[in-house]
Amino acid sequence: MKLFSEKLPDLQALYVKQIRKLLSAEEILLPGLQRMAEAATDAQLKQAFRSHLQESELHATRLRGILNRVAGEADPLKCTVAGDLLAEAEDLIQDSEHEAVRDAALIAAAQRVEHYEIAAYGAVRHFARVLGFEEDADALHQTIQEEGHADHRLTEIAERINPSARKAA
Amino acid sequence: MSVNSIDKLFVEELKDLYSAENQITKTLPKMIKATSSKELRSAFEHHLKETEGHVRRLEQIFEILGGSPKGKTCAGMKGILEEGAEMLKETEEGDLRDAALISGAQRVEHYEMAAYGTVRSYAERLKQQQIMKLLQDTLEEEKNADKKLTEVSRDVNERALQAA
Repeated sequence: MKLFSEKLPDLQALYVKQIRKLLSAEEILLPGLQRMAEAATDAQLKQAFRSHLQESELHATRLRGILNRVAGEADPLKCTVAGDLLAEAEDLIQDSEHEAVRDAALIAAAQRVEHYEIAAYGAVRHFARVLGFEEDADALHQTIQEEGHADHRLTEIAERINPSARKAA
Repeated sequence: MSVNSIDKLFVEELKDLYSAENQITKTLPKMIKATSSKELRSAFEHHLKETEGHVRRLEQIFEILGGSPKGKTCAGMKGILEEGAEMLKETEEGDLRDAALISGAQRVEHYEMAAYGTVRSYAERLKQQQIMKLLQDTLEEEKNADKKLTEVSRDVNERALQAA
């Protein structure tokens, strides 16, 4: 690798870079989830955000474990997308006058975050398998399952509260 | 803007998607150019045509609803595409870049799947059958595009492992 080259040399470098960005994303999303739990009105939705907050702490711990193994240190690399997605959520919170509509908007924003994470974790899980890092791949798989469940739980809550959001009109 | 009903939230999110799709139609040609794998290039080319169709469907939806789809910038998609552009910069042309491009494209697809899933369910609640059908068709195409990318990634990632 050239001394001043910004190019990634190999798949492992791409993998480490994406894991570091995911760690940053999880760290950025933690206070975001806290804010969303506070902004939510529906009790189940509040609870869903709070339990996902705990899961996200676990996801960050898993990423740190992977980075310590593969790179020798767990150093996050700023993920700007997480901030953009939270800004989008914040806009929706600010704009929603009615509580039920705000809940619907919060779910919409949170599901975008979940899906972004599912895609990002899916990519690094496959990189881990190809690289022969089975332990990493299993840990990442566990996180994907949890992100998937969080997404489904939000869909269920949306199906219940959206009719009342309609009534708020 | 203030949103006090699901109808308005529905329109805001459709505008957001219109902006997102237009951003993607501008970015996909750059991704096509940067790709080395023939299979990946053809997947992107196919999806570019589909994306142009998604823009038209959204325009059709706004004709039904009355009003313009314009006037919003989807910040989420902008961020995701900027991240993709960064991946392009930090890789040389070849398998590793293709692997990075796929991981970026799948983030785009998933973001869209979430957003279309939301508006599709709003359309259902609002008893907008025709609109729901249009959104469902797009949602299916986004899901298929994501699956196709996963398929292509199997070979590309294996080859990227050999690249150094």
